[in-house]
Amino acid sequence: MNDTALLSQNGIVFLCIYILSLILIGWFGKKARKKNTLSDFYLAGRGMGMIVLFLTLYATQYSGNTLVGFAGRAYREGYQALVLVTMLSAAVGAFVIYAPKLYLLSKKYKFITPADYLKYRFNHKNLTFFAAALCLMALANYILTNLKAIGFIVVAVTGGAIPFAYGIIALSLVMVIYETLGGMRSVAWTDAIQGTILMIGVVTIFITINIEYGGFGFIYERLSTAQPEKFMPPTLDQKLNWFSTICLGFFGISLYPHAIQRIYSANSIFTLKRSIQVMSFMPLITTLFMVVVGLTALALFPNLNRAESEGATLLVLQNLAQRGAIGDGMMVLFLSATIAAIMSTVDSALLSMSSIITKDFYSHYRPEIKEERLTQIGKIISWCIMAIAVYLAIVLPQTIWRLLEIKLELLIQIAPPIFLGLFNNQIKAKSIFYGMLVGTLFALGVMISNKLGVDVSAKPWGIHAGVWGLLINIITVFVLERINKINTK
Amino acid sequence: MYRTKVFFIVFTTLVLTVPWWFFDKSEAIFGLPVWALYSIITAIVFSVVLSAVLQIYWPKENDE
Repeated sequence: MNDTALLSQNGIVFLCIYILSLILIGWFGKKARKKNTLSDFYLAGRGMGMIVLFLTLYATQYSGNTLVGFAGRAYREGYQALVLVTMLSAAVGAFVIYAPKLYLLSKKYKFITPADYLKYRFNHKNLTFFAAALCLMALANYILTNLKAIGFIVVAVTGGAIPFAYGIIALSLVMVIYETLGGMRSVAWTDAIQGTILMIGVVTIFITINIEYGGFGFIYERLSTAQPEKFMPPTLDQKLNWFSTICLGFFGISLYPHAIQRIYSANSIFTLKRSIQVMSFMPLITTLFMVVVGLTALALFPNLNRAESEGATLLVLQNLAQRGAIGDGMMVLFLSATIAAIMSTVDSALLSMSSIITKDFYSHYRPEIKEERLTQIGKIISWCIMAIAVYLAIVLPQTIWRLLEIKLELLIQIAPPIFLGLFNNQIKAKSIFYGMLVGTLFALGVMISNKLGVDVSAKPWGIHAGVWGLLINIITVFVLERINKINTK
Repeated sequence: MYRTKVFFIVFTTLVLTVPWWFFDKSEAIFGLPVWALYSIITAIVFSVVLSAVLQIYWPKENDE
């Protein structure tokens, strides 16, 4: 074992036992299966109760990025990283608006995927396929980036004793096994455990650093003279960027296909309401706490570069361990929480991708296939997706990774069909389709040009290209609707 | 109509969470610059508003 390993041998053994126990939960999920149908496999038979629904929503929304990336961003941006708190609250805000109607429709018309709703509402093949393709792109990105994060964490935990590629392969294998055993039921149950560990991990580290260092008072004392620029309010461009970021949360994060499928899975509208109600407070005890961790790291270790700042949380933990404030147990808890957060996100995205490919694409061309067979095909597709994702996560060059960072910018383009489709009965499929097409092409054009080094800002006037794309998308929809009305008259 | 109202309440509260009104460096309160404190307080208010909107406007069980 390498000396730089974050965990002792006992800690690693405990972590392995925890990860392997997830397969057992997957097996229980399989045993609890009621029917061999798509609805049972992908939506847990639409019977999810309040606690499991809340925990699976929570574990899915907060990925490894919350524990590692958010603290790193707070380190670099200072208090301006507080935008992350409202960004995640914004996603819950969107649920409040669209979830009740979508839930009731999903129950009545037996939707499995987000595209099922679009098919029901617009009955436009190209629109349905286009939206499903955007969902797939966002999910693929989610899986790839989180798998890569898993590889880095395994290397850090074991001090390199388990190499990057082996770490990804081993944990992916565990995820795909429990996912194909019991589908959404297994994923939701493992999410419930992972969500609980995540919450305990975040709250514990926040309380510990407050007791040990002194929280905001300590941060102010250390930074007010050394880095006064971190205390400056945002400039106008930064305020616009703040607004644009919460738009990404509201119209983008809320529409992740796996989040929509959790809305479909609720056993009643009351269950859904209660889960969303609790979710509305989670950014305050998760994102905000991790921002404080990042600011504490800034106060403790002021001169880290960008790459080093990504490890801000681990640095704080190591410092706490050196001071004797935490033991190996706390380190195991936090690393378990990080791995749990990543796994719960990947397994949900994997299940959602499998459902979209099976239901929206395969079943469309082979409508004669029975549900039992489709469920089996869905499981095979899950294995194929995971194999491809693992391969790409290991071999993809960094230049391609930069292009893959485009995620919410594309997903946000499906907001008009969902929101306008639900609340405006007059809107026609053709306008929505061309709106999505124009918005997506604009966002992609700007983002790709920027990533390829062309002199185009990815955030003109502080606003993300995807948000500009959404604006153009909506304007296109209304212009086409107007033209359509004039032509009809 | 009530959905328009809900959208208006939620989105307006959300827009108000952006610290639009702060331009200069200010004194710290509870170890936080005033604009950061504003951002945290409005985030809490937003969560409370969401919870209240859910309580008031969410469809009832028998609407299913």
